[in-house]
Amino acid sequence: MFSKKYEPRFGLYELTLRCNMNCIHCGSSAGQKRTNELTTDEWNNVTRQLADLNCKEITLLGGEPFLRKDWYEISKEVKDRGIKITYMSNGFLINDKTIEKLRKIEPKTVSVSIDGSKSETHDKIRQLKGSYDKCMEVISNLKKAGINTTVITSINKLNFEELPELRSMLLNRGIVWQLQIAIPLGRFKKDLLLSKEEYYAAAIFIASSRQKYNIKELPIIGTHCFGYYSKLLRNPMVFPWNGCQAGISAIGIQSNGDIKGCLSLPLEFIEGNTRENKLLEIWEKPGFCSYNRDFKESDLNNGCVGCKYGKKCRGGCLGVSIGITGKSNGDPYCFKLIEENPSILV
Amino acid sequence: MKKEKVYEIGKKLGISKSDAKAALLKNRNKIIAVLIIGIAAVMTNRIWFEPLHYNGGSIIDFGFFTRFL
Repeated sequence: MFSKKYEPRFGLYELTLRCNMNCIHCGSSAGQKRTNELTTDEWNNVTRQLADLNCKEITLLGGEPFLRKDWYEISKEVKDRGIKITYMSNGFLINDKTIEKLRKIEPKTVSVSIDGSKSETHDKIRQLKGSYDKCMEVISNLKKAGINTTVITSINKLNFEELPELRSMLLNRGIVWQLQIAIPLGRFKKDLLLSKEEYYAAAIFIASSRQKYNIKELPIIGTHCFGYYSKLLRNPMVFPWNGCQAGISAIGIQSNGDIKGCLSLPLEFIEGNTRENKLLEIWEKPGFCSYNRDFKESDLNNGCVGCKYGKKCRGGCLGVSIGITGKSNGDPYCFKLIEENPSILV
Repeated sequence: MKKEKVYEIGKKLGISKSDAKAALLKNRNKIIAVLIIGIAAVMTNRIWFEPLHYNGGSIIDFGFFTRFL
């Protein structure tokens, strides 16, 4: 029986896998579009179905969402259904015309990726010369147009040391700064993954910045991978960690209609397709996202085995856990684990 | 893990000891939170519910403030 306990309040649309950049850390290995991507009508149909399921917010990402010529039509359907809309973009293609259309959509936020305080670092990670200057200009233009703007930084070994400088650049600009760790999925090579010590240092950086600057000076947040259950640090995230939300309150739809609990998860987590079944049927299907819905403490892996928070936490971010260890429900980038065993930092 | 270790790790990003200290949870905050919740619980019970039930609909029971004088 369908339970309100599971409601797809957050939808993630991979509008296209096509991308104008070739980022070294891209978890979806974006570049070429998928064969048989959903049409405008099919996306709008998905939106209508999600609206019926009480969806509150939809994020359009990719690939690069603004590469789709119909991004506005798809966004408009979302807006018309009373659902909040956010974008995750590399920013490169956002021009004055795009901004004009975005103003009509009134998005909750437009997120642009900035992966370093120096153009060399950003351009090296994004593998596109001139992208840093262009993206910084786009961020200023979005702000000038009165659009809520977020900068997303995926931290890896190449840009880790640039965080303080990047913070200075974003101070007092009314831009939200969201930090996440780059996970070894897709194109990202493990040797650029932050060490546990660097990860913990980044968490100290976020937590101390949140104390040092008020929300007007610098709204800075760590994404969900910055957890969990520290006895020492203030929470770098906005909310306390309550376990992976894939299939609980979140649903991810790939550009070919394939459904996963979360778009960060690998292909083996595809559990249906919007062309074959209605979203409601997929969402209600027994066993959908069973890794979360039917989770048992015995499913915990790695250092999470026997953890007192295991039932609630479910072993941290599933994507991070799989990306780093190859196993689910055992994210090793955990404050509690690090604080209880500081020797693992060496 | 000891706090000193946190300061040491923070140095990796050039975070000073005082800034790293700001990142730490303080027991004082927990005590204040418990006090606020406790006081709020007492106040809501005394000022909100009690007068609604016993004071003919008056929202604030001013007698509460003088009760302990």
